[in-house]
Amino acid sequence: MWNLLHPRKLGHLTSAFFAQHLQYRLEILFWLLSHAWPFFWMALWSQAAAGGSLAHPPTDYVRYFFFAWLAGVFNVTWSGYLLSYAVRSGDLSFLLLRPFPPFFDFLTEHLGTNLVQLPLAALVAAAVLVLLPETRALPPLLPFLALLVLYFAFEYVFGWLLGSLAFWFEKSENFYEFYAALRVYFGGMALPLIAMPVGVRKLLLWTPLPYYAYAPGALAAGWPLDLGRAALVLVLWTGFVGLLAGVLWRAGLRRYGAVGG
Amino acid sequence: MRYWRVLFRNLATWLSAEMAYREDFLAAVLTALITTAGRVFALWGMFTAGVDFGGWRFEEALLVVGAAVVLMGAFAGLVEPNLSAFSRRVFQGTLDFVFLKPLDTQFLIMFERVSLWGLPDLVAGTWLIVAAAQRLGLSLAAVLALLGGLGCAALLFYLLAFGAALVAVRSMYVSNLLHFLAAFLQAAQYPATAYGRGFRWIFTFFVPVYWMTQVPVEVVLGRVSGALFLALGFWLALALAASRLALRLAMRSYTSASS
Repeated sequence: MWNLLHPRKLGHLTSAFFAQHLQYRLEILFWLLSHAWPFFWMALWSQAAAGGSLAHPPTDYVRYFFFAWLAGVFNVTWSGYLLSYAVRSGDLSFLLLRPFPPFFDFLTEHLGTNLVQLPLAALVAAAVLVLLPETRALPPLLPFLALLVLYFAFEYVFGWLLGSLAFWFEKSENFYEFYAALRVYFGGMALPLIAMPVGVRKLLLWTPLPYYAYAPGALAAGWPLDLGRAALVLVLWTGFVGLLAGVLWRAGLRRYGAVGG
Repeated sequence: MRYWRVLFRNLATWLSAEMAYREDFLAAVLTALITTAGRVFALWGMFTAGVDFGGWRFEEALLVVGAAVVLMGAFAGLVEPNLSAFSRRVFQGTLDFVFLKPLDTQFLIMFERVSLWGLPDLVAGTWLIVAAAQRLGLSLAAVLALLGGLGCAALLFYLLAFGAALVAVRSMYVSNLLHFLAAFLQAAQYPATAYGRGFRWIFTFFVPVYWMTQVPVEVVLGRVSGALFLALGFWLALALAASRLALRLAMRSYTSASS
């Protein structure tokens, strides 16, 4: 069973992707900075909280947006993009020749990129920790990491589902963009769930969206969060979406004509 | 005249190329809809939570959101595709072909292609502006003036991004650098009064997005004098001159594919 997962081959692939992305480290630093707009929201909300018109003190918002940003660096995926592109360009053919499914291929690419991001994100985080002393309270580490991994798993599998649509539509990158938009506005990055109407918040907590940014942020800010439900929701959704993705992937492969077909 | 014809042909070619993926384009339209809804929802959430916008009313702030969305549309439709193609040309050494053409190099770089993905945001932003203007009782002339001002602002942003993209001659890839600049448009969708002093300084001088979204809106609302439109024009002329100079300087380091 262990051998079926090809640990050595996948290990080599991970380090190859690590090396490949390391070449573009400056580029990745800019990626980090270009996704740093939660810091704008942090400035906006903590400024308002300092004026005393909000329900929570400024420190809470500073922590919330910092740790939501930090989680977002590592828990987002782009498997939908990779798969859609591979189908359209025919690159998928070469991946299919390998002794393990392309599912693991892209997974190692994600791991390699995240490994390059780790020191860069640490650099940005160190700067923030120095500049904003309020952020120096760590969230409970184990739940924080568990949330990261569980959400990552959901999004990776969901990306696979969206990417598989490319077998029918030739291109499905914008379906991923659609989800990314939902994620930003209803996942707590642009607007923390505590500022939403109660009905909307309750509904959203049964979807995977708020576990992208709101849950890690709330954990850091010390706002109430039902961790058991978080795990349950994410595991159930991942299973459901994974099943669908598997069906679509198999049906899609039968349609796949490697550009020529 | 010749330039207009080339511009039109370029844009038509790229539009027809991109319409090929219909379902995906539909998804892009849905994305623009959900993003617009999300933006209005976020702004509304901020107002109900008690975020202080320094005396701005909801509809007035919505005008600023609309202005930023229009600029984001220009970014996705024109700035990003052309400047990414430019960095690819530098990377592959095919910028030589651009130099060989009998038209102005900067024009060819900046208006070679257009992406359909900018269109949904342009429509959504304009719609937000019109809807907010209607509720504020603004005249049609005011809306048109605002859109005109935003056209200038979009060009200013483009020239700024163009200058930044010239580092492609050294670093090869610019896509993330461009998105870094676009992140400031995200910030500029709210009146600068909502931010602290340091951020306001950045938005006014470092990446002057304050001039691009808030100033046109405030002129139309009659809060500041229309002379600030002249300031925008001044920035534009300055950026144009600087970008032409920068292109000349950067091309000294360009070494085509062979050397």
